[in-house]
This record gives sequence, structure tokens and C-alpha cells, in this order.
Amino acid sequence: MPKSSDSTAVAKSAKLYERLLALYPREHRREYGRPMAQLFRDQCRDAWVEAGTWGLTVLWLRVSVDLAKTSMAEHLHNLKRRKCMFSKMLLAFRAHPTPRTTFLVLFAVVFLLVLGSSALVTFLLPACYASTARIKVEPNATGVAREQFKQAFVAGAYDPHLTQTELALIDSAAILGRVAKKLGLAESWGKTYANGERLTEAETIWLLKSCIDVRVFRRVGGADWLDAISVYGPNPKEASEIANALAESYRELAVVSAEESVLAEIDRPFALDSGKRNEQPRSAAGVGTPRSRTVYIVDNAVPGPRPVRPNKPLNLSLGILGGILLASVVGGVGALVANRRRSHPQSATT
Amino acid sequence: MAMIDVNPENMPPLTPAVFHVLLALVEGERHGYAIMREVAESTRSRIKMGPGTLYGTVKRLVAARLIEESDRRPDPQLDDERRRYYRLTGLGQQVVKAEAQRYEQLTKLARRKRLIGQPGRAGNAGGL
Repeated sequence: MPKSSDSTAVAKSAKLYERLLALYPREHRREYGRPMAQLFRDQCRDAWVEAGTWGLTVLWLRVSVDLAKTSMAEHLHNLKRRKCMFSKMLLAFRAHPTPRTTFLVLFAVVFLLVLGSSALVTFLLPACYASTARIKVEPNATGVAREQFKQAFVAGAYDPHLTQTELALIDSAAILGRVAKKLGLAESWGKTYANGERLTEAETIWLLKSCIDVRVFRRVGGADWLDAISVYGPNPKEASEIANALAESYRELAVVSAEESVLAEIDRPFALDSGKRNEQPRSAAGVGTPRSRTVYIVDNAVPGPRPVRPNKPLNLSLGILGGILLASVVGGVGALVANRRRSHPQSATT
Repeated sequence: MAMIDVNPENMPPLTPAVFHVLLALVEGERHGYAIMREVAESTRSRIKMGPGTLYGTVKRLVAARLIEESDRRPDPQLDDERRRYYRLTGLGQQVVKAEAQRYEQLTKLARRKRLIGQPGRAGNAGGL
């Protein structure tokens, strides 16, 4: 008869039993799993020493029944305990809770709901990156027009729509269409937003318009100013490419415009001679838009290192603040109702 | 088992497993394996507790504060220091005593009914 307590059969049995302990609820396993495994190992050694393989077989038969019966019992016990806790909670609410309990419970529930919702929305929202290109615009009005324009600008009596007009030009269909074409956005966005089908020009421009933001960044000396062209999107590289392409396209358009302006100046003496002396250029007449401008790209856009939206700390802080406010209101109302029910239990039940 | 009335007349009967575990701890602190052996020896191997039954019972007895885990750890050379030792609490001692008295009363009743004989007289147990 084999009498070695270090038998492989004992070790294998012990290992198998340790695995079978997974049948018990986690809490029970955590608390008693190790001593149970140790006890079984001791039983295995005894059985092996007493009757070898036969002893182990009998032990396994006995322990299998024990395992099935007690693991099921532990699960049922857990289930019963949870059911009991739930019933107690329900009873606590049905039997006129104190205003303090009502306030605390309602406060906790509403606060957690608001905070949970804000956290959920914050973490579910797709990340949005921003890239900004900066350009400098120098109006190039010539002759009388330039002087008048400059004086008016310095004096603060410039046309308020001047910069707006220039900004509107940047996100005009002419420039956006050029950018879309240059970057092949109709194809690439079609893959993302239209199941691979190429977007129409109007759709592409509409999408492009929705993700750009152009604003006057700062006025610098004389009549010059800086514009910031910001592009928002899920792809930081693409956002920076679009911002740079917008700045570049606007600069190209300005060059063309300047050339046209020079040609117009050359034609002007002939126009004056032919009896149109009183007809001044529109730009010079009411200090309006200069006839041309020079655009410099001051800063090229670079891919944003981290998303600008959603702003997680801000959203969570708002969730906490909003949660506290709403939970206080709901909890307060609940506490008032509970107080009323306690002071007039009959009217509450009828 | 959370609320136990220690009055023997009102106390619900303990299950055999619980009673045997409590009895095994009457003489002092024991670890799981020692309890199991004690139960097997005292019942002449009629009750052999598996690890599931033993620790399920221990868990309920600890929850009912009838037994508690002892801080004692044996000398590692003599015994495995990872073993957990259990001992009866004051409440546990009262309960096991009350259960033993209840058994005693039942035994007296059975004797009066001549179901079993007087102590020391063997072989005169009545049958049904």
C-alpha cells in the first residue's frame, strides 16, 4: 500500500479541489477558501495513508456531495440575505421615514444620478482637438484711400464691418471649396460620415463651416490686425491641415486681389481724364473695405497635443455643483413632505 | 442564527453539525482539521464533515457570535501557522450547555417512556 503523504495523487487532488472552490460565492471563498483547501489536503493525506487510491476515491465521493450541497447552500444564503436587505430598505421607506432620513436618501440618490450622468456624458463624448493658425492682415489701400482709411482706423472711426467682412471672406464658399479640394475632404469625410460615398461640395463646405472658428485675435499697429483661424475636429492632424490650408488659401486670394488692385490703379488716371473725376473708389469714399490687403501667415497650425473638448474637470465640477444644488432642492422638498406625513399621519394615509 | 434566545426552553434545537462543532470546542481552542477529527472520533466516524459543511457551520457560528477566531498561533515547528483556531464565546458556552440540557431532558423522557434503559444497563432498549 502506498503510504507516502507526498503522493502526486494527494497533490493533484488538492489542486483540483482548490479549483472547485470557485463554485462557492466569492465572499465565502475569500474568507474560508484557504482553510477549506488546507482541510481537504489534510483529509487527502489521511485517506491516502489509510487506504491509498481507494481511500482517496471514497473521500472524493464524499467531498463531491459536500461541495455540491454546501456551495448551493451558500449561494442561497447570499440570495436570501440580499432579499432581506432589500425588504428592510423598502420597509424603511413605507413606514414613515424621518425627514432627516428622507433628505439624506433623496440627496444621495439625486446627487449620484446627476454626477453619474455628467460623468457618463463626459466620458462618452468623442474627443475634439483644436488647431489654430494665425495670420496678419495689412490693408493696402493706395493714395487718398489709404490715408483716409488709416486716419479713420487710428481714430477709431473705422467701418465696424471691415474686419467682419474679412472674417466672412475666410469662411466663404470660395475659400472653403478650395480647401476641401486641396485636402480631398469630400472623399475622406465620405468614408467617415457617409459609408464611403463621396460627399457633395455643398455637404463638404457645410461640414467644414461647422468646424471652423475665425476671429480677430488682436489689432496691431496702424490699420493691421491678426486673425486666428481655429479648426476643431476628432483628428488633430487633420484639424491642423485644414487650418493651415485655410490660411494659405486666404493668402493666395489676397495676392490675386492685390494684383487686381494694381491694375485698377493703373487704369485710374484714364478714368479721371474721361470725366469721372467725382467718382471716387468705394473703399476710399466712406472708409470702407480697402481694395486689397497683404496677408502674412504668422503662426502655422500644429496638431493639438490634447483634446479641448470635453473638458473633463469642468464637466465633473459642474456635475458636482449641479448635483449638490438639485439634490438639496429635491431632498428639502422630500424632507418637508416626510415631516408633514409624520405630523399628520392620518391625512397622509387617507 | 443572528438572534438566539439562551433560555433552554425557548431556544430552537441546534442542527447536529452545529452541536458537534460546539461540543468539539468545549475543551478548548481547535483548528478546522482538529474539529473535524474530534467530531469523527466522538461519533465513531458516523459524522464525517467535509470542508464545505465544516466551514459553512463555522461561518454561521461566527456570525451568530457563538464562536470566535482565536489570535493564538502555534509554534510553526509544531503546527502550520496558517491554521485558524476557533474557540467558544460566552454565549456559545451557554448555548451548548442549554442544548445539552435539552438532550438530557429528552433522554429522561425517553427513559420514562422506557424507550431506552437506565444508564449502565445495556440491551434493554425498547423498540417501536
